[in-house]
Amino acid sequence: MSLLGLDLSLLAPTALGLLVLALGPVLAHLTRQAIREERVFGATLLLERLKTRLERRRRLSDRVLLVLRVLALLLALLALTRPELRWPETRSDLGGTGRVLLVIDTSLSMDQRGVAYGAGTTSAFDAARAGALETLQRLPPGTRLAAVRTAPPEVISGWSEGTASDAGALAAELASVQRSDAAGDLHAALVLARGLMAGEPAEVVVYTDEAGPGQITACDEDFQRILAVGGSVVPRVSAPPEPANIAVSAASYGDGVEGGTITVGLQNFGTGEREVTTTLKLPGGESLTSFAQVAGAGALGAGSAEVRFTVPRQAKGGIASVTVDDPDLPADNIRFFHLPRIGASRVLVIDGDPGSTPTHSETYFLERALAPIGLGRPAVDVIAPAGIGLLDPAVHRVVWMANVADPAPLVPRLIDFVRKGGGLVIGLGDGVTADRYNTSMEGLLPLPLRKVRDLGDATDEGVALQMGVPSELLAPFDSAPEAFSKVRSRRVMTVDPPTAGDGGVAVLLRWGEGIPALVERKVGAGNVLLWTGTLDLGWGDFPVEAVFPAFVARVTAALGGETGASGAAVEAVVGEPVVVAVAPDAPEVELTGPGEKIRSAERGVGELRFVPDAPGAWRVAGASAAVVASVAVNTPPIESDVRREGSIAARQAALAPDRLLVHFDLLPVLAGAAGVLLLIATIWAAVPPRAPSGGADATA
Amino acid sequence: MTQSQYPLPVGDPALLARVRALHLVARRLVAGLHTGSHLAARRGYEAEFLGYQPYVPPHPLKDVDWRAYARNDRLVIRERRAERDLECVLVLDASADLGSTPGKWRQALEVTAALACAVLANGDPVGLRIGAGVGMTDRVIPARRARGQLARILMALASVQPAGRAELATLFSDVGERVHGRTLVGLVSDFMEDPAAWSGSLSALARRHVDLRAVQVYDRAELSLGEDEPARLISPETGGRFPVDPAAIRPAFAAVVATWRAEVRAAFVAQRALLWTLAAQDSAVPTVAGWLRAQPEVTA
Repeated sequence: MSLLGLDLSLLAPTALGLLVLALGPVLAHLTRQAIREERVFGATLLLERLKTRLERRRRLSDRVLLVLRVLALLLALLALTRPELRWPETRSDLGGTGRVLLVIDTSLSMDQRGVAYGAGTTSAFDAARAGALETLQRLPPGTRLAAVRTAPPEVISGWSEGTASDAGALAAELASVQRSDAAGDLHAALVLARGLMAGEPAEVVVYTDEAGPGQITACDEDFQRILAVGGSVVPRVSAPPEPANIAVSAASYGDGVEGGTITVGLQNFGTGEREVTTTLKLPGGESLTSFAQVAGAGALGAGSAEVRFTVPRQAKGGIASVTVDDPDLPADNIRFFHLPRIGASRVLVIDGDPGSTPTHSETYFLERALAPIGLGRPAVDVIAPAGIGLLDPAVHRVVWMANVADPAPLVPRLIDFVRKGGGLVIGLGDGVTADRYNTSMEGLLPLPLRKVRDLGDATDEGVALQMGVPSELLAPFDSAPEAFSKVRSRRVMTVDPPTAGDGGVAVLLRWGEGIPALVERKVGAGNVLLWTGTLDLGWGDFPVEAVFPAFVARVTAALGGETGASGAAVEAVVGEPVVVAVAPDAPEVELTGPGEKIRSAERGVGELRFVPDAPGAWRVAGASAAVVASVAVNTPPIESDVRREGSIAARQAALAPDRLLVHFDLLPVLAGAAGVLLLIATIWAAVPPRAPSGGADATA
Repeated sequence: MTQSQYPLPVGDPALLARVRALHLVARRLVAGLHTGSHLAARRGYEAEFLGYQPYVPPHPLKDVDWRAYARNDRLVIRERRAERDLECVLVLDASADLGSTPGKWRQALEVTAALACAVLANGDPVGLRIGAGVGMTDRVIPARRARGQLARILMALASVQPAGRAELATLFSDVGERVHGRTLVGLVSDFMEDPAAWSGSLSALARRHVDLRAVQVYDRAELSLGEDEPARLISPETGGRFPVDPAAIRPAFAAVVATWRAEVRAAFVAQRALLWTLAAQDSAVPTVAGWLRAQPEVTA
């Protein structure tokens, strides 16, 4: 049993069975209360006169006596169980082994504020560092010193020779140690410490906040090994009295590509409910503020809350940030996340065969499918093939080609557009010639075209559409595959069957005879879809089927990612390696960290490696300023959890109880207390109730 | 009892035995006592010489001491103590409280019988009034000096069983209505009722110029609460039950007893009445003697 850091154990727990004896006084009391004798009494007039007072006094007297006796018996019986109180020994004197190794926790959680130091408060890290410096000054002369940090785990200083100048040099080094925004690894630091100890005893003084799940228990083996060689781990806890921290645990842009919401997750690791201000900063510089009530942490975990921001209809893409005003641990108050360009996701329709009537116009159906209501839907730009110059990767995200007879003039722009992440949907028609397409669009076509094939005459309904291989693109339709079964086509463009060498090609929809209907191919960062029918009513009835608007909307949403203007979107954590893919033939790239500072990175074959040391928006860009990757770097979530799951002292005490525990035998205390209670009970019982004034002998 | 003309309960041997036993005890109690020594409240000129007083007309001339006139040439009259009959009414409280212990009831009966015996032996008429109680042959026996009066009184005493509440206030009022003129009223009771309730009736009785003498009977063991063991004490009058721990309440109870006795005493003192207290465990001889000689334990 543990209470307030003290462990209570019973050396003779079987004696607890004797506790039933505590019922003895109670039973005796009840037995005594059951009056068996009855007497005729001729002076009840006189009893009436003192009835109320005597009954009250008797009740009080009896109950006090009963409580005293039961307590005395309980204490006596408890004493028989040989209870022993144990608590971890706190060593105040250091240097006994001649070697002292300082371990400084430099993790992010050491930024906790409100740690008592001197007359005021400071951060946990500042208090820890100051404590370490004070320890250095108090050590006996000749003590050999070393120091290790936890984030990143590395040796600050190896063993000194024990001279005064060595202590001064170590103090200077400790004074220059800075807290990191990375996660700490006490276990790794202790491994380094054990390496420095080299099997010889030393006192390992750990300055830490003991915060974080599993941080202490992960060090059990280290404690055991250090204790085994005659050393000890002396904790110097530097933490606020009560853990408190609110962190931004998540931030994501909502569904849909055209506007929506940003959902921000907040976590409260403190015990009390708190209201915080949350500020969203968009890449374009706009700020939005909201307030949130975050429940306190409980037995089930940290308290949480969600904040939703409605973003503008148009916003610049890039790395946005969410900040929460939390004074307890400022280092994790901000979270960076990727925000796609909002409101720029326009659709470009290249109409190669403007029809004379709406039913013969692909544009007519695409506009209805994409903008039936108005707001919240992508706008549609319609151009003729000759207007391909209007294709702007910064504005357009999906291009629909509809029955373009000669795609050759379009291909260079389209290839560049798709490789940067744009989406291209190719719709066919009577104007399409297989040879021209196969020749000019070889790098874009998912499969080479063969020929137009009639599947029935004009009076036939044609063949039905069926789902092909499962795909993320059509995943929303997985639960309702029959949605496509009503689509009929009387004529299609056949394609070469996919071969093993056609990597990245997938047939998502098929006609009833197995002819591919919708074929997907990844090209660079983008995707190309080939629809082997028409996007008007020329060859089939797809545009007038109910599934058409949903299909067009889904394809636009799925293909409408960033166009590559901001490069790859990468998420990273401070202190953990980041690998960014860079084309092997790409010219030299630069890594830019927060504050537009150039950072060092390691260039490998087809990749760039670096370890971010601070949260923020990092960027990998080529010499031409073309962004290769945007990296949203955040603080390690584990460091935000400032709750303490255990203590080094307690773990050590559990591992070596006889060596590091103070034992206190409670037997004499309990026996003495029982005796005192019995004495009080005896005196209480012996002293008669106080007679009222004027009392005299009743017997004449 | 040979003088008695009152029919003895020969058909009830037990009662007869009690009457005889009571008679024996009463005679033993008064044996050797100087009977007839009770002092008259009024002065007279027929009996015991008290002294001379100057003759003042129109005092009858027959009272003039002519011999003294011959010697001193002054008309004086001889003043003597009157030896007229003193009617006595004994009032016995036969309430259940008085019968709560055998000793207390026996003492009350015996002292009443002894007083009746002594008064009759002195030639004075005596009567009896029993408050509460059941089974008695007579509840009220008028004061007489006739033969058989003692037997009648003893019969009533031997037959009464303590029961009910004495209602002392009512009893005193009733007695007051029955007495006329010079009367000695002897009260035998435990007076275990609130003095405030009956002191008024006692005062009314005293205002009838009666000579009030009272014997308060009690049981020493009872007023000390007896054994230490907790017990449930039952009132014989009301049936009320009082669970008590005698050891715990004894001091406080003693104080209440003392207070109550002081109140009783004060009630009699206020009426210039005489009061004797008699424990069931003690001999009644001193009390009877004091009562007859008007030598009170407590004097007005």
